[in-house]
Amino acid sequence: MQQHLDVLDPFSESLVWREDIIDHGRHAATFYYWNIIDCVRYLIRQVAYRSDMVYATIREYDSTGERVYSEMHTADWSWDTQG
Amino acid sequence: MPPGSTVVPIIGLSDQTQLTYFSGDKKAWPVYLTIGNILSRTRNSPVKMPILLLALLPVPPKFTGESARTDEAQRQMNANVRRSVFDRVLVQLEQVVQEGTVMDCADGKTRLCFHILSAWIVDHAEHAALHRIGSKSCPKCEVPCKELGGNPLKMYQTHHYILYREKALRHEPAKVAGSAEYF
Repeated sequence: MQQHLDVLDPFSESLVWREDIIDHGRHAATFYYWNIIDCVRYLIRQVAYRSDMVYATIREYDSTGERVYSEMHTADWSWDTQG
Repeated sequence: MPPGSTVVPIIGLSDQTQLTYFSGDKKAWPVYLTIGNILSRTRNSPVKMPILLLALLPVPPKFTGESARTDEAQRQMNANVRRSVFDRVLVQLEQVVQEGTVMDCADGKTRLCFHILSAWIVDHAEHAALHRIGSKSCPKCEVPCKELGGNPLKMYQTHHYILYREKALRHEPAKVAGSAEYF
């Protein structure tokens, strides 16, 4: 655990909580959020996950030649989208 | 999509959580985010922390304590608030969804990434709250009452849905199925 925490990147400066207020008549509600693109950017450049990261789609087959579906990048959806 | 670019499937998770019944029913409503490029053995491992807290939604009061009519208005307003909150949180995603974004990747390369919101992992109560459907209806498809248990091949067919809704209106005026919206 400690080893993993050492490898894990610290949150960059771009990841800051944003505060937003929604006014809906009776009272205003405050909510907090992160920029979704910065979150993805943080996750995808995370060196700690480097060995378990995929960027391309694959087709998996077992020994009898049957198609095997396991992860997201082995699905037809991924092939159709990324091509 | 240009060759060499990468799809980044975004997975969202949310769940409304009761914190305490004291001091006036405190609830938290976190929305989490992770990406499908991480293999599931890492993505599902809590100690590796691949899931980020994206937003804390406001939890407006459910009842006004005045009358049934104001309660209904309050529920309507809550749904509108929820929608505009999601609009504001996901608006950055909409801006880049067509052209894609150039991102640094963990293996040292830079890729053109296309973000697609591909899954939203929630329980049924949360589905019902997010899509504003009755707690007895299905968030995935509409099946006429005579075809329950059959193969739901008629997913997302609007006229069936309207029929179903009219029926629901007649029988259960309190539990009207609202418009099911997908993110």
